[in-house]
Amino acid sequence: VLLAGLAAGDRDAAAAFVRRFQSRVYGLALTILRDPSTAEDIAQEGFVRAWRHAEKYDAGRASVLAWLLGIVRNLAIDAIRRRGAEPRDPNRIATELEVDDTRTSWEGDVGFGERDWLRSALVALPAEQRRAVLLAAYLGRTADEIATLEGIPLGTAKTRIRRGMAKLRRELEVVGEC
Amino acid sequence: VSAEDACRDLREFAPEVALGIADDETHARIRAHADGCPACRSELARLSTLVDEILRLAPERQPSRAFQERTLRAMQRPTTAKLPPIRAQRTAALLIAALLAAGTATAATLFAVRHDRQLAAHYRAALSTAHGSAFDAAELRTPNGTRAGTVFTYQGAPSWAFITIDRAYRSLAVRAAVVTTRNHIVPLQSYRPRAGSWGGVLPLEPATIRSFRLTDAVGRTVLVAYLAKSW
Repeated sequence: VLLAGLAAGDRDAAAAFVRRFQSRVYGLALTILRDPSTAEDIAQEGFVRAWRHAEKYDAGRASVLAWLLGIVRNLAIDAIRRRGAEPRDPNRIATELEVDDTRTSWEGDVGFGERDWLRSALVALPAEQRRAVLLAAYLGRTADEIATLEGIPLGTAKTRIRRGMAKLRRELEVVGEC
Repeated sequence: VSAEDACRDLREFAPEVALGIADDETHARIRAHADGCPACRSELARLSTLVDEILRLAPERQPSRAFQERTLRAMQRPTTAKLPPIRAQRTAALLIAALLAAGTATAATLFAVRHDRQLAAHYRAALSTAHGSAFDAAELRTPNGTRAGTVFTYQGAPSWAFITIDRAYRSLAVRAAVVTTRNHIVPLQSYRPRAGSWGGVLPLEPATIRSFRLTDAVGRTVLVAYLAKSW
């Protein structure tokens, strides 16, 4: 309904859309960028993009939140690359993801509803695989870039990504079967 | 390639595709196979869901009080209307001349103070005159971050780029390519800088370009410019 309102240019729908997702969107931007001011700019741009491209949203492929977060993630990654800034330390990102004490009740209405399984699975990964997955997922770093950052061969970087994702994927399977 | 090999190929590269870090060719190959293989399509979908879930681990944070109102105002701002295509090549040269003559400084200022209505109106009018939809500029930098020039891009019919390189770096960059948002590298075949500058028609729309890369004679990247990107 919200997206239909967005696609139709409904201002009330836009306000409800922003209210509902702003803490999620801003939280992701801040996690990637660190700087509150830049994070607000990127979060705002994410909402504007979603508003202008609402008709492209495909409910069969992802939840509204996942779609919106994907837009914001790409914008934030581009902002980092544009500035030529050093990528964030993935260990610090991991710490932030594990300390998530600000969730509100609405979160449970989309997706799996609980993410503790994933948080635990990430913690259980070997540190180098966790770093590789987070560098790729949050900072958009390619295997080649991860290899450079970590000082390892490209093949090793690819293996870390693949093995890390495979372990998380297995956990997802277990959760999905519950 | 047998179906079994294609499925094995997907299992190997699907994580990078789902994470959005695969190059263009790999992305296209994996997507094409997944389209015709229900099991692999399902696997790719599960990995994409996993990436969505990883992003949702980011903690919620409240933006400033002004955020909501400012965002709503930005959402209500009219977009630049799509304008009809025009006769290409001759106009590209005119656009370069007109926009650069109108002032690199003006364009940079427009991006810096984008919320200023007067400047935004000026920008829209310039685009309207030049039958385009976006004009952008990005700094060219060396691998260690030193500024070495500027890349200007114009999205229209045709889309074009104009590159200026500071004197100290002119002899280094002998080839140019663009890297797409899917990490596909597309050489700019007509790149022939003269006196530190080059302008020409782009083989793809600037909205699909992540960066410009200038390389030396042996293919090493010597200068890079990252464009503001759409999703």
